[in-house]
Formats: sequence, structure tokens, C-alpha cells
Amino acid sequence: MKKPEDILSKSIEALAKMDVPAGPPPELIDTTVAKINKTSGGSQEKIDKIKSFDKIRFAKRLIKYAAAAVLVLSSGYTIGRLTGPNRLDIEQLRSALEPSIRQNLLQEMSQYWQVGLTSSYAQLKEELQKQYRQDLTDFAIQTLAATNAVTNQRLENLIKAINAYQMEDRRSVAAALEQIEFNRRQDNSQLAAGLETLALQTEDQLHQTRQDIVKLLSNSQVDSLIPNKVKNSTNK
Amino acid sequence: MQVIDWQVVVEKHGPLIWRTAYRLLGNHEDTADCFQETFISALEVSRRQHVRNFSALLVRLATARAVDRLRQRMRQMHISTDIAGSTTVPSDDPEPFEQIQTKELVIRLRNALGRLPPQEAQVFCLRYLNAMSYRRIAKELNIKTTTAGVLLHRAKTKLRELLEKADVIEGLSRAQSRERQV
Repeated sequence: MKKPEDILSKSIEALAKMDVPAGPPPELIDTTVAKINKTSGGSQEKIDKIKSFDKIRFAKRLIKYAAAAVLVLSSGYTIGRLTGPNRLDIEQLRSALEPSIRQNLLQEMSQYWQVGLTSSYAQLKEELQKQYRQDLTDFAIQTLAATNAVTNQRLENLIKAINAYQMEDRRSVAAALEQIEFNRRQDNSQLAAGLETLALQTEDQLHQTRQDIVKLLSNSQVDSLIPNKVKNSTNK
Repeated sequence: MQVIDWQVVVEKHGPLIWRTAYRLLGNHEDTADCFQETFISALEVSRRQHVRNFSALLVRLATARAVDRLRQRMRQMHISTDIAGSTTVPSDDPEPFEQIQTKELVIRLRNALGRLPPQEAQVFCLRYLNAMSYRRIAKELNIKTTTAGVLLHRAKTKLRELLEKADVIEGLSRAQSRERQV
């Protein structure tokens, strides 16, 4: 919902926007100026007079100040010329100044070089230390890598040897097992053959025994069939 | 002594002073009086002190004179308004209605300004009708910047109250007049 506009703002806006005549009528300006002149007790002419008088006074003041400035400048120049030092001989001045300048220059140069060397030494030392640390670190890394490689190689060899021994062991075990199996089979076949022979022999023996028993039985039956008289007679 | 060509000053700053006074007073006669009084006051001020900014001084003086006149009006209850006592005629055309409404707002604001203490009214007018900065107002009225802010705040609060009250009264009177017409 739109908030209603403030009545004060609306009023201010209305007052600010209202139509107002652009300026006062010319008569009013004339009247006002006349009133002001009357109140100030003079007229425009008086103001003009004051203005022209002020201008003259200003020009006089300006001339005075300009003259004073010229005077001050010229006196300053004259005093400067009079109190200034005489012209010196250049060679004399050079010979007087050269040793001290040279001395100062040498001193400054030596100080400069000393400071430069000190700073260079410190810098060089720092760089060497850095380089040394770097080399040490690289060497340690390389050594560690090489050691690791050798260790790995040896471990591989060891694993291979163990594997070979295990394989050999398995082969010998397998050969022994085969031998045992072969012996078992051979024993089995021998046993079977022996048992078969035994069975055949036993069968033959049984057959023989049966025949003997039959013979024996047949002989005993004939003797019982002969009459007692015959027997007796025979016996007599 | 400061030499002032008043012919030039009046011609240069006259239109601004005229507009400032007319906006607050709303008629020719009062504005003309205020205009002359303003320049006479400026003359007196220029006798006492060196004037650097004539525009600001004249606007301040014109506002002060106009506010005095508004206060005088309020005291005498001679409110010269074009539509005072007129009844609003309902119309389908929005423009005349808006114009009447704007006029009403302007008149109410003028009346409310007449009821304010002079300094508060001056600060308000200088700020909102002449777009002067707080610092400039403070300098012209010879007060602190913070005081100018406080006066402006008070003026706004009081004006808002007065305008709202006037709005309510206007609404009631309209309702009564409608009842009478019916």
C-alpha cells in the first residue's frame, strides 16, 4: 500500500512551485532607490563623488607603495653589491678545495664499498646456506630412493626363491604320493592274484576231498549188503 | 566605510527579493512594502558592518520582513486569500480542483508560518524556500549550525501539527456546508 504523502511536504512543494512574478515593477525599484538615498542622507551624485575620491586616494596610495618598493629593492641591491665577497681565483680555489674533496670522496667511497661488501657477504652467506640445505635435501631424497629400490629388488628375489623352494617341495611331495599310490596298486594286484590262487587251490582240494568222501561212502555201502552166511562162510 | 551603489544592488538583487517576499506574502501590496523595508534594513546593516554577501543578507532580511507581516496578519486576522470563504464546487475536471487544493495548501502553510516563532519561521523559509545550507543559515542568523538544525526541526514539527489541524477543520467545515446544501 502506498504511504500517503506528508502534508507538510505537499505544502512546501505547492509553495515552491507557485507562480511568482519574475521581478518587481520598475517604478518600485526607482522608489526604493530614492527611499534609500533619502534615508542615507545623500544622493547618487554623492556616491559618485565618494567613488571618484576613493579612486584618487587609491591611485595615490599605489604610487606611494610602488616608490617604496623601488627604493627598498635598489637599496638591497646596493648593499648586496657592497658587502658581497671579492671574486676568487679559480685555480687557488680548486687547489684549496681539491684535497679535502678527494679525502671526503675516498672516505665516502671506502664506506660505500665496506657497506656494499658487508651486505654482499651476508647475502652470499645466506645464498650458500640455502644452496647447501637444498643439496643436502636432494642427496637425502636420492639416497632414500636408491635404498628403497635395492630393498625392493632383494625382497623380490627372496620372494622368488621362496616360491621356487615351495614349488620344488610340492613336486617332491607329489612324486612321493605317486610312488605310494603305485606301490599300493601293485600290492593290491599281488594280493588279488594270491587270493585267486588260494581260491583255486582250495577249490581243487575241496573237489578232491569230495571225491574221496564219495569213494569212501561207496565202499562202505557194498560191505553192508553182503549176507551174514556168506560172510561166515567166507570167514571159515 | 563601505561604498555601495544601491541602484546596482537593487537592480541586481531586486528580482530575487521580490520572488522571496511574494512567495511568502502572496500579494502585490504587502510584497512591495516588504521589498522596500528589506533594502532599508540592508542599508542600516551596511552602516554597522561590512557586507560581503548581499544576496544572502537581502534574502534573510526579506524573509524576516515577510514572516513579520505574516505574523501581523495572523494577529489582525485579516487573511487576504483569494479563496477565503469560497465554497468548493465539485467538478469532473481534475485540474481546477488540483489548483484549488494547491492554493489551499499554500495559504495554510503561510498561516502556519505566521503562527511560528519568528526565528523558526525564518530558518524554515531560508532552508526550504531559498535552499540555503545549514551553515549559511547559521552564519546569516548569527547562530550555531546545530541550533539552526534544532530550530528547523521544531519548525517542521509545529508546521505539521498546524497543517494537520487545519486539514481536519477544513474537512469538518466542508461536511457541514454539504449538509446545509442537501
